[in-house]
Amino acid sequence: MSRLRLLAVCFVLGLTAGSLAVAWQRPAAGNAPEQATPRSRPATTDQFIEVSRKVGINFTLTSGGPNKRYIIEAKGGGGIAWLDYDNNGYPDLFFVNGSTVEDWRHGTSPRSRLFRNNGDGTFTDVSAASGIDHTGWGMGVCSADYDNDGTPDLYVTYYGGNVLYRNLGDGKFQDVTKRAGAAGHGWGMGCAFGDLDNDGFLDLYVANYVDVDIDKLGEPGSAPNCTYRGIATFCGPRGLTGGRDILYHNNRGGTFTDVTEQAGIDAGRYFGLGVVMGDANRDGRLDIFVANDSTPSALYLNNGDGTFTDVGPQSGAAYSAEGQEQAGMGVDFGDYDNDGWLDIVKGNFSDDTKNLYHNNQDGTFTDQTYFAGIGGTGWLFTTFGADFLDYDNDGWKDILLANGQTFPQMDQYPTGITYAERNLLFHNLRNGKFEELGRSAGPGLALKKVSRGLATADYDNDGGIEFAISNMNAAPDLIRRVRKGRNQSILLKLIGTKSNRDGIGAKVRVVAGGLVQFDEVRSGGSYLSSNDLRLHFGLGAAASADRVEVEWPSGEKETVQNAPAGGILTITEGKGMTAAKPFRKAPQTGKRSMKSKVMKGEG
Amino acid sequence: MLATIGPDARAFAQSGDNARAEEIGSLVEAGRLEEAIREARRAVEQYPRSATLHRMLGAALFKKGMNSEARQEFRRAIELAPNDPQNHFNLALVELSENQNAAAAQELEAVVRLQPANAQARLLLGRAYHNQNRTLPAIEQFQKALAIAPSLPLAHYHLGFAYQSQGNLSAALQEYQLEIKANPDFYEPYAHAGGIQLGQGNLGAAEELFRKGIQLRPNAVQAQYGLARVLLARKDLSAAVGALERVIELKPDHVEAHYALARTYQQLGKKDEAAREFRMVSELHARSAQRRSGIAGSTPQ
Repeated sequence: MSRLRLLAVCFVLGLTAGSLAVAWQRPAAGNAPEQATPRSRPATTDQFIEVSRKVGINFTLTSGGPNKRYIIEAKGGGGIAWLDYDNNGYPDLFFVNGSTVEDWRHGTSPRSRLFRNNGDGTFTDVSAASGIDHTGWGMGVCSADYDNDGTPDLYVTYYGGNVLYRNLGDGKFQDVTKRAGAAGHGWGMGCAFGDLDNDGFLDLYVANYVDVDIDKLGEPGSAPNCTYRGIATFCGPRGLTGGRDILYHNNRGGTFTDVTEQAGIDAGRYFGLGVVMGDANRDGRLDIFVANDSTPSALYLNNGDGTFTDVGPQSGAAYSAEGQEQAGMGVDFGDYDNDGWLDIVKGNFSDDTKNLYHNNQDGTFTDQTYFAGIGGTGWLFTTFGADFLDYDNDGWKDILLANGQTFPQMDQYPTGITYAERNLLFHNLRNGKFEELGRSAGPGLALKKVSRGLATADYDNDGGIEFAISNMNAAPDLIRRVRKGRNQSILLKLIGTKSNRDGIGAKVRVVAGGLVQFDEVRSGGSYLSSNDLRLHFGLGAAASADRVEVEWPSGEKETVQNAPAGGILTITEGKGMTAAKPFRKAPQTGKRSMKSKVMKGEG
Repeated sequence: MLATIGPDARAFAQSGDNARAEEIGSLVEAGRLEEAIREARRAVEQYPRSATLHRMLGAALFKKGMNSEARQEFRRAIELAPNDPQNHFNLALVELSENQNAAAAQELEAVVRLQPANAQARLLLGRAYHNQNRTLPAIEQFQKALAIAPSLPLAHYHLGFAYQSQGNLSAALQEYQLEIKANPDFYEPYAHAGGIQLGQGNLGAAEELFRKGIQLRPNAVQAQYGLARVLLARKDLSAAVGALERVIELKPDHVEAHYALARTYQQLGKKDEAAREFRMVSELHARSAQRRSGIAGSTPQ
């Protein structure tokens, strides 16, 4: 080697050792044995397919232009709700539609869409006759029976004022926002209903994102907060003013009162996105978790006196495992290790871990993302929708993450990050660890799209969970599992009498096959979405649940003994099991059908 | 032999330029840069079409920190000898030193086109690509560099870092271990490999790596913090407090150490201390928010 080259190389060595890290990038924090590229998994009985068009769901989500020049184009729209609006026993599907900057300015934004579940596996678009006719830049949705009249209502968030639709019970909805006093303000995102004071009426939490004027949004690359990895992108949320979340108290007469200030909610005006309610500390009162973008997440513990305390940082659920702020999006509560306490899954941005906060049962959480095998696998993905669900009915909750970048510009760079991404389904290995199923689990999980909302339901009442996923500027996906295994399951529909009609907040323990599972009825969650309120429990090989124990928000408790698998049980507060209906195509392993047991008054 | 003289340079070289180049090279090596520059300028005046002398002048200027003039000289050398990879390589070094990664990549691409087996150029090209969000081509270049020169210093490290930035931790760990084997006095791979071992629950291996890192660089924050995390994982809380305090002493705004300290105090039942540290975490985040570029995941590290 020449002397000059030696000189030059020495210089390079010095330079390199001194500034090794790539300026804008940090690597995975170092913690997991798994590969970023999922291992090829042998074909199993679990195969997933996409069926939306086949079953009659024809809808394209409008959300800004293709280049996503402004933050509202990348984050907005995509909320999904499963609700049985016509009480025919089959969950219907509601999609929130967004807009474009031009359409929003001209008042020509498209309508949101409601699809009626025909009960035969198909859907019919009933939007036009539904009375759901507000247009604007729609974002998220939550569904619940806020007026306890027996029919689920809808709350839809928008940029510039939200809408409460009351279900009239005749297939139509009425915009009652003004009378209810629940219009909100600013840029509404995720929402959730829950009876926070256990008075039998559902209160409402609305996460607000940023306070911006669409007409005054900065151009890509025009300021330091308008770049990502040095690439010019839309501006924000950093550098923008956070919107303050809203807490509404239900006054019982069809109206709400904004109690945000006195309740002590979101004084920091974080960038709120996903919201979910659950009793995190098991004190009998619903708490609130808010996934905030680029700021600490909030865990509001319910003090029981109308006030809340954000214990996010102290609880360990506000930051990453190492105390870093993350870009939180979708969130869900669920007991993934069957210890009777609600854990948390949360989606975050790319170049970062997604969170799996394990509830330590002492008021604190530990982020187990790496230990669980999620950390490395999810590193490059941008996760919006996030749900716990038991897709294989084995009694252990799995995790589904709906992914999609916010910056189409990423496709111009071979970083490994792409704008369209596939979704990730993590199978629970029952030891605190998860395995990502990958593309081998069927074409439904191999799709690469820019996903946002995610909501789950057993829409065909066959005992297996399906999931709806919204995609930016594209049709939604309705994913179902085929070639199912033989595991059993039950669906539980709760009807409150003293408690709120939906039983939201009710704690349910299902004892079956030597396993004790726990869940709560909840509205809202994931990314701007709302799952079917019926609780789904996989029972494995068990032909029945030894016990189904319900603890209602009113404090009343009841137990259904020997609840047979393979159908939908209705449990009414104070009355026990009041109805049972077998699944449409439920796998039968028990000798006696559920119907025969109900007829004989067992259970 | 003083400097590489490519065939084209040789064709353009005028009588006596090699001797002048030898002389200038000796001055540069002796650190007599001003003298070297003066001599090189004279030589270039005398032999204006000598690519070698322009390169030598460029090298002296570069060493002196006069990048702009060095760049001009290297460009002139390339004009005179466009197929001499050394000139492109040297110009790439100037561009890299100023984080002009696109320009550097262009020159390094010329080097590897002219000299496909130049492992060092491939390593630097990989770095330039990685700094331009071109991680996948970067990985390809690192792999090619290693195929040519399996023990090329830093190549395993950079490949490991690229893998780690993809979330591919097991491959990253393997590369860090190879770098340590080839280059045992280089600190960085110890800290990164230690972090991965810690995450896998291999506390003994993690501790060993962090301690070796600290031996090499006693004030290295990352290794000190890693060691504190090992102690935390072993539930040796009082020792962890001491280790975390040491990290904070070295880097008072180390938010992760404050957070870990807060949670450790919490476990020790020291509520006031925990509250103080949680407040510090919040303050540090608020302070850094201004400096960040928009999304938490893009935080410069």
